[in-house]
Amino acid sequence: MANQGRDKDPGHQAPLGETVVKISGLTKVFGDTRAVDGIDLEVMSGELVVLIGLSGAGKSTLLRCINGLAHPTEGTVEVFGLSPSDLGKRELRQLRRRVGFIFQHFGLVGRLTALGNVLAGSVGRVRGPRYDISSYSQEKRHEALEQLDRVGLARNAYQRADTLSGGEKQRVAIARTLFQQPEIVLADEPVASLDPESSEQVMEILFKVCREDNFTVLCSLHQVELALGWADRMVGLRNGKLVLDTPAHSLTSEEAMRVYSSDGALRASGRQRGTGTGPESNR
Amino acid sequence: MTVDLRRDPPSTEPGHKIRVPLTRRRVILATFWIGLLLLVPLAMIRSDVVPATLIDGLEDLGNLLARMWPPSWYEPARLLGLLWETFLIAVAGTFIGVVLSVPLAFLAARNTTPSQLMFGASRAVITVTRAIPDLVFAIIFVRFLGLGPLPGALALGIHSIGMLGKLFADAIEESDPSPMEATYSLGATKLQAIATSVVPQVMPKFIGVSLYRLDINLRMSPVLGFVGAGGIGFELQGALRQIRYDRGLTIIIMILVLIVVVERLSSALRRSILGSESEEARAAGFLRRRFRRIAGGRGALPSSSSPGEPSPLIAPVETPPPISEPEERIRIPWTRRRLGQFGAGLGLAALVVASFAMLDIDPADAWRRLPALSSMLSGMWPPDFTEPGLWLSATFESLMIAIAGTFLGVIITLPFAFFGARNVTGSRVLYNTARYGVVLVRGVPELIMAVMFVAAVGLGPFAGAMALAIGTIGLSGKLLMDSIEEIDPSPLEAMSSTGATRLQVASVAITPQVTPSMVGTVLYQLDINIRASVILGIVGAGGVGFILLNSVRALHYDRTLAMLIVIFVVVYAIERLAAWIRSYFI
Repeated sequence: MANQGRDKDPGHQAPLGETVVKISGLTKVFGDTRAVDGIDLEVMSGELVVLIGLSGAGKSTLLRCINGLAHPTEGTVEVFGLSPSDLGKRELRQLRRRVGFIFQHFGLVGRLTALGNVLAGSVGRVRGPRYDISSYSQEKRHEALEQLDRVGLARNAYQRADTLSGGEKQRVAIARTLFQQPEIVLADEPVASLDPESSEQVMEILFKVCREDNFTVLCSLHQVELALGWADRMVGLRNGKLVLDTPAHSLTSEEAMRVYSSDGALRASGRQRGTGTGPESNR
Repeated sequence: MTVDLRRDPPSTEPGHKIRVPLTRRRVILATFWIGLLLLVPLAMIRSDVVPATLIDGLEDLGNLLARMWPPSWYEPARLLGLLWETFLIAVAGTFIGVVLSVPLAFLAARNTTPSQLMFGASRAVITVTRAIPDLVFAIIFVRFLGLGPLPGALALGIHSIGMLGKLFADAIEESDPSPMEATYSLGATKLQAIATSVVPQVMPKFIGVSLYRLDINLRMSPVLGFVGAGGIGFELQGALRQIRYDRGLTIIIMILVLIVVVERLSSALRRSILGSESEEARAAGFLRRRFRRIAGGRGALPSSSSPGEPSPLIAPVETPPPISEPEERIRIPWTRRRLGQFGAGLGLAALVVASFAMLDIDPADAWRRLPALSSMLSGMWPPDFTEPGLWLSATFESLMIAIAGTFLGVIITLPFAFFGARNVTGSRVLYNTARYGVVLVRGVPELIMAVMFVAAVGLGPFAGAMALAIGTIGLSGKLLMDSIEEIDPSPLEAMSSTGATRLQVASVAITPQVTPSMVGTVLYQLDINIRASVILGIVGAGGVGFILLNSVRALHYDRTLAMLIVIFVVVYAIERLAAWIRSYFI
């Protein structure tokens, strides 16, 4: 399946625009650990960047610094030329409107319907407090249902989110992000809590719709093979440091291995069992 | 659900209106809200809780407090003696309740009951004793046991069965069945199997629940004196009757201090008897889960310690028992933990002995009073429902007081609940103010509040509704804060990362999550307030309690029984109704 994605979307190497995310010298310290340690990274608009690395390598922290859910200890993060940690509440909200975020644990409100959760993606655009479907206009309801249809869940519109399966939940979360109409999508281990089959399906949908809407994507992943065929660029983190930054098509398995196993001990431990298959399948 | 959502997907056609389909659940919820909308204003008007009286009432309360200040510390030795008696009544009552509930619970648990008949009968006893308030039992017991602490302790004990029996039985039913099976496979009798495999499992829960009940009984025992059932209540009543409000304040402060001190003490006791952290956590988790189930929250919470953790029971044994030397006696070694347990148990036993010495039970006297009991029982039958106009309107008044008090209390509580939730509140100062405010309000029992309000605004339902409103702030404030703190934070993060405002995050990510526990808490509070409203009349704060008290005083026992039946039916019906509504709010 490695090349399926590229076949479907040959135009993915459309001319890249200006820099939308610019990170320089980013360091984030939690207590004694340096979760992110002096990272420099630039992302062009329309680019699909996949972050790989072991758990705890700093991928989540990096992503959370980009939309201001976390603040850097040192260094700067610029998104559309703005630094999230320097913005006032109002400006930060306006910036976040343009940055979608997909979470490992979905972040759905279980008691609301699937459609209600998708509609909630628009709260940055509409005024005032909202609840379930009934608190949005018919027009919004139609738009949201269309997005739900794109992820293949229009049939489940009225179903409560907590009755959906894990894969379906993440698809609802994707539809919510689509309905947010962002320019950048950050995805933090979107399939880490799903089974392999739904992981594949969810990643396929996520990359496909993001390509269709021409979003800039920064997605952290455990399984490298899921990104192949879609990603423009692979960025590897280890112990908070950037150890790999290469166009996806030229990624070699040695390079990928370097991200996952720096020494023999790590290779021997079972930790890489789930992730190590990625570079293997690339051969 | 009657509408099959999967078969009826919404159409993406432009002309099609997208609406949430009407399911049975939505119809029931809508009916509930509309009913509430109609009932609350009616209740407010019927119990005089309208803006004009509220403003006057606050002024009256201010005047009363001004006249109460400064408290007068008269006859401190006698007051302390009465306070001690009040405490011992609660201890004796709880002990009586526990002693009666333990065998009852084994009969009322599905896995240990000897027969279906015993199961049904013991469950019925539990339900009835739960529905009839302790103060009502006290009035009846005073009638044939005479004035004094004995009828008070007995009343607390009998009413305690309702809660203790139920929670004990639940604990037994929840115990792990495999040790029991294993014991049976050794050829044990049922009694042996229960003793060796069920009792050790439920012990921590029993102790935790019993000490919790002691706290509850201590909140009632200061009021028992109002009907002559011993304790400091009689003195409080006297002080208020003689318009010695300064003395009244002294007594109220003493009660407040006693309640807070005992609450601290009982939690320390819980720790030293249950010893290990994990067992205490398990007992606390059990109580919390019970409470959640009552309040209709989100099922079991993750306990702070994992249940699979090995019990530290085995850990403190320093030297293994000597197997090789037959003349050496084998004993459980005296570890620190065991010494602590022993000490705490000894202290508790001494308290119980002291409380029974205070009760001064005289078997000969009880024997002499038997005819009074039998004449009372025979006088009760048949129940006299002949004056429906009287008791119907009084019962209705009680209900209205409960609804008005609950609603007013919840309205005041809601903002505090958000301030007092760590994950929502914006400021540390607001958080502490809300938390400590609620603790302080909760220290004063509702009936003591009612007594104060009667003194301030006069007899009638308004005083009762105000007392219940304040009681509501104390209890549901705490429950609501906790339930807001326990919500899943991930939707909050997801929503704020889309650029939502604080208000939008609260509406779309917090409200839906807290609605079930909020409705659950309000219904639970209403349930409690209805039980309380039934006895408010005894201290003059409106409702059916006054008529009940009079029927006993006028020896119209047939009317008393009629009232008891009415109270039981109302309380039980509301409890079932609340449970039914709650099941739709998950």
